[in-house]
Amino acid sequence: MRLLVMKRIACAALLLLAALTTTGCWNRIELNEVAITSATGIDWDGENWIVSYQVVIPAAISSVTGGSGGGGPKSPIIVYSTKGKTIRDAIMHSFSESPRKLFFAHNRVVVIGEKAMNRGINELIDVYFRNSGSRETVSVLATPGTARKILEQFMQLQAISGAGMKEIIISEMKNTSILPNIPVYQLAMELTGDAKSAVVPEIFVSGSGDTSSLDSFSNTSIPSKLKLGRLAVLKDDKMIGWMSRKESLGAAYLRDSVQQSFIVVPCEGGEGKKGYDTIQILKSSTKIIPKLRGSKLTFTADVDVSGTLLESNCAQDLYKPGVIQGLEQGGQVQISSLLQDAWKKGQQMNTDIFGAAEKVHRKYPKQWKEWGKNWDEVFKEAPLETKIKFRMARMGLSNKSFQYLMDKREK
Amino acid sequence: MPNDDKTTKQYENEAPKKETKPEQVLIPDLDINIERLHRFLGGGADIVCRTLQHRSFDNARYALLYIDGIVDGIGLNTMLLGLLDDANRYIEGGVESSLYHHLTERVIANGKLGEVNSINKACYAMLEGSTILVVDGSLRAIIIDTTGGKSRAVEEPSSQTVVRGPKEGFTENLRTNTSLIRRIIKSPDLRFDYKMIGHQTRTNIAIVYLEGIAEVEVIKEVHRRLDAIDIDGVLESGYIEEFIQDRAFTPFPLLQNTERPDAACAGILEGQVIIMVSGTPFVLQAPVTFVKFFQSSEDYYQRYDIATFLRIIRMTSFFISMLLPSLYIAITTFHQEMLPTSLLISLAAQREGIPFPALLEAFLMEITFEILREAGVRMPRIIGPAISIVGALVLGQAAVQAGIISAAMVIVVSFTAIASFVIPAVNMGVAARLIRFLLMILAGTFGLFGIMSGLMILLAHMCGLRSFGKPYLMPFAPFVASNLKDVLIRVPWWAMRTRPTNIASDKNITRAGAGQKPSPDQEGV
Amino acid sequence: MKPAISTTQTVALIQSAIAPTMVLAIPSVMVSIAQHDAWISGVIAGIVGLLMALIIAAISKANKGQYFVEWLEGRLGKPIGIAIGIMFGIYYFNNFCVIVRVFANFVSDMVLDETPLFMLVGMMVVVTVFTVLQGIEAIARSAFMVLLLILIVVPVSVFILYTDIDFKRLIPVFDTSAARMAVASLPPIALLSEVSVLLILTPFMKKPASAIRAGLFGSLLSSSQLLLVILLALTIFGPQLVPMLSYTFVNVMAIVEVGEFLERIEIFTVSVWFLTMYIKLTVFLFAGVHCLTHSLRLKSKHHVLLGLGLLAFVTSAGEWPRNLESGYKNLANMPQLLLINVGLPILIALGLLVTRGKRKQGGKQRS
Repeated sequence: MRLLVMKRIACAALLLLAALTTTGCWNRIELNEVAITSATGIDWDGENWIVSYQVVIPAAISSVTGGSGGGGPKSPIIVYSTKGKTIRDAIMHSFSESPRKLFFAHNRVVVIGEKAMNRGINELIDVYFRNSGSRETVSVLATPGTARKILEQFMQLQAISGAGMKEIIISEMKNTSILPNIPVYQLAMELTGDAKSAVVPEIFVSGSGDTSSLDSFSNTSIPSKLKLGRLAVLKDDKMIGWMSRKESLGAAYLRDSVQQSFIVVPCEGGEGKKGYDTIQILKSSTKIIPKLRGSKLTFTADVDVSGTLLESNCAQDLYKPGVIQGLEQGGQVQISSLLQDAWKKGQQMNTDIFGAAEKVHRKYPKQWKEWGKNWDEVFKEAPLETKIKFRMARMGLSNKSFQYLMDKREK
Repeated sequence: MPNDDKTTKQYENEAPKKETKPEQVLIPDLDINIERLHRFLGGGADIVCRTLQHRSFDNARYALLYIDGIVDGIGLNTMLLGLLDDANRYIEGGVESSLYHHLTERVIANGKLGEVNSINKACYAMLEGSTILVVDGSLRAIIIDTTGGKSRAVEEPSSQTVVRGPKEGFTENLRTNTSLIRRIIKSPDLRFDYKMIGHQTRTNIAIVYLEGIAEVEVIKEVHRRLDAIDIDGVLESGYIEEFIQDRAFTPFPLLQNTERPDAACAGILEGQVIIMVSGTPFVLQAPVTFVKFFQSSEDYYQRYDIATFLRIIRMTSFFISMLLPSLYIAITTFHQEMLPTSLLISLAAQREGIPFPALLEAFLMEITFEILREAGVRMPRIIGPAISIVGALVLGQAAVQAGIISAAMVIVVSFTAIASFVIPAVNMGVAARLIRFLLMILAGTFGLFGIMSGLMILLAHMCGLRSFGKPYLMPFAPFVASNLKDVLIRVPWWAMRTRPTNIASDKNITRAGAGQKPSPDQEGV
Repeated sequence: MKPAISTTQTVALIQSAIAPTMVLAIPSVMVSIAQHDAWISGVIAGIVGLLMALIIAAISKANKGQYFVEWLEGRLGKPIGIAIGIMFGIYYFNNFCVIVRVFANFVSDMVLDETPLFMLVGMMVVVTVFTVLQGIEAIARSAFMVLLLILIVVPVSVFILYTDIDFKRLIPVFDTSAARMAVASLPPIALLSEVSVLLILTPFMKKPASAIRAGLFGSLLSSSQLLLVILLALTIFGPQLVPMLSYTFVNVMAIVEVGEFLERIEIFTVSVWFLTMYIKLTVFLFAGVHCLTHSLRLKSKHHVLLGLGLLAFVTSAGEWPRNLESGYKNLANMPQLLLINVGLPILIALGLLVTRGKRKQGGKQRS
């Protein structure tokens, strides 16, 4: 009986709770009260942070993708910026101009302008880790101009250019691996790592003018495009320079971030004709092994690559012994020079973006205590040896190059 | 002597527990007896009295009394024919015994006879459908079982249909129902215990179980709880269910019901006790566990692979029907980050211009659907199409086009509704329906945290539930690995060698012999 | 009939009494002290935890099926028994309030930052009180169901995170000094000492003889969860980043990206964690109510429960005006945890040893 009474009290309490709760739903935010941000831009004007937002207009998107929205073409995104002493301060100012609350969980990329990169981006990382609303998997991109300009660009095939930028960098990383996709958490890991250096891929507007109006899409070619370019190198959260695409491919090998890539190897057909073979790299793994020779630190990059022939315009008969070996050797030389170039550039910039510091720390924990204090000096002196194992896995569907057949007929 | 216990139906002569009328005994005077019997029953026009006179026995008079309509007319007439035949016969060489004994031992063409010496008991027997034979000068009356009258034939059950399996269903007639069980389980251990509940309706109740397989404690408990019921009438087994379930306040059904004799027999074979109530085709099964409500009798007639698949589908549907609207509310209003971007954008586009918050929207739609469902059940069959047109077109499509409800919400609610129909036991579906609303409120207030708090309450509640002493969440909590063979997966029959110990007594649990897995000689291998 | 819980259920109860708070904030603290060798501290803590479980189980083995307080009274005399009972009762109740507050803070940080704290606290107290009302058997069964859920969720999470894991981040091993590792292992040891709840649970067990097994497995399960979270955090984020993340395992799950559709699943993991947290709260409240009712000779458990529930609600919602303070309080609690969970049981054990002869006499007198 007593149990029954208790249960009634519990029921009443639950009901009361339910009644209380239905009156105020504090954290509830309806879908039509949020402004879904697909990309964020961070700029620094010397005194203030300027944060730009690329906000998705859902109604316009669904009419673009086959909804029933009438009228002329509407822009699926809108870009605006706010200014503040800190990043969050700037975001807070957005409340005075946006009818809806900015919602960052679906933010795909954060684009950082060059000035902001030069100033340092510690604040940004703190913002990302402190707040549960923004996700740590956002890709970081750097741009030589202002970030806002990047956000304003439309993109072909993808209505939301923020999401499009992420798609580009992901697909680029998967297929050519020149530039890595750097999520915020990885950037934070690299910046806090032993070498305190990191890289960020560059995005820029190529071509003349810009594509910030939907009118551009009435033509078959658009005046400008968003394009991935070089690699920004950061040290202690500040950008210190750019690496060219070639160097960044080398850096990708050294960082062991190559998933698939390609190299173009010069070749010689019969009669001294020069041509090129294109080899797709299917698998690649790199080990950087620090070695102590006396008191001097050296590194060996042990690269294991296998590839397939994509295109050949030399007259080659792949059945012939030695041809494949030739190809493999060419590949080795190519990759080796890529690695050396990147390493030298890194040393020149005085940054270890290759994760060499971690390797040394792991292998020589005792000596690291000494080296860690002035790692830059140690790194600057350390030479790199390359040991490249290049294996042609497949030749594609034909065994003789077309050029070879043509040459034969001529004879 | 016909008043032998074996021939007397145990339950028919029982007076109700709360006898209000004074006990009257039969006296030797026939006319007064008849008069008293009439008076006891209020002398309705359906009370038939047929007086006979025997040529022997000094032209002794005797009378047949019965209530028209609840007796088996053909059987009665045949018997009457015999009686008349006998009455007109002059017995050569005098009579050996009294007319009473002559009639019971030589004349009455009926298998089941009983005797009473009180007016009250005789009348109660008449109310059961028996015929009373009162002999002048005798202090006793003969009860002849002529129960019958019009009742529904055995038909295919309407609520639990199967594609493959027996098509018989229980009827409203208790005797038919017991015979259906007897015909399936021809075991001498099959026990039928009878009870009568309800002072006014005097409803007959049968408790059916297999001795040696059903747990003795459970049988005793069933008897004890049924005996404790004190009510004026029992019209359906639902009356009984609410009296005997283990916990008064719970959304979950603690007794199973079925309309199918095969399902009832399967329960009996697993050690369940069946409670049959006269006047309803739905019999109760106890004890039950939560998972039993997801087993359909067809699971065992189909192959085990598809049966397993379907069972998982059913479990999933239960959770969908309980959780989907609340998850939708929680995710779209609290945890938008969980949605894939493209889905979020399309949902957000649908919500443009919707005036209500998602919680209210969901409530509106859910209640609309509940009204539609109720209308569908109550309305006459002929106007069915009208309801579906109004429901589907007006409330669904038009509401979306008018911008009152978002299309996604219509999808969520319809899917929830469809999922709730998948659960084979209607009463479990009802539980999911009720819990859904509570979870929706919690989701609208606290998001996923609210849902999880609600689920924790549910889990604790279910862990505390028992059905006739058996933990409701067996075999998960407490965990009994050997009983998992018929829960999420149904193993083939040759592998299900023991009956689940969570219901039956743990002695005598072997169901099938070992080594019956089909393994034909594989020639040429 | 005395309710009976099985050994597996006891394991589940013990692990859910320890693990939920341990995986929450401890890994980040440990990593900040012991860097990438924090997992070794985890192992040390695990071993110490097993030892503590062994001690507690050995003590509780001396109890032959009597309720905790009654047993102590029988063995050590009424006043001591009552005093210890009240101490434990207050300890469990106090801890219950602290955990409710920590839990509410976490929920507030994670998702419901605008919801008033008293609502969250109220919700938690209501759910916990309801669960405790169902009795120890239902609590044990729920604990087991939740454990099943964990056993499903953990491998799936590890599988999803597999591509992000890099074991090289753990090298070099033993880079941190032994002292730091030892210091880092202190917080988890303090929490692992909560295995002392076994003292209260043993009388409810079907087979009290297997209390040792239950204690060991419960402790092992908890420390392996801690170890798993540390290892995941270290191999995914590296030692430098982890101290920055206050709720490590949430951040670990937050970086999952499987295709376009499975992202930000940390809230699901957190949801499962909510359930274990509820079980922990329930165990503590149950233990508190049990000790208090038995030592104060209170007749109605349910009234005590409701009263304590209300008190807990007021305490948790009002005691600490700022979120930060209760966090400090939780850390400052470590000595208190060790004192109550290890010190007191050892004193009890000593007392039992001293009174061993006395019991024999008492036994003779009784027979």
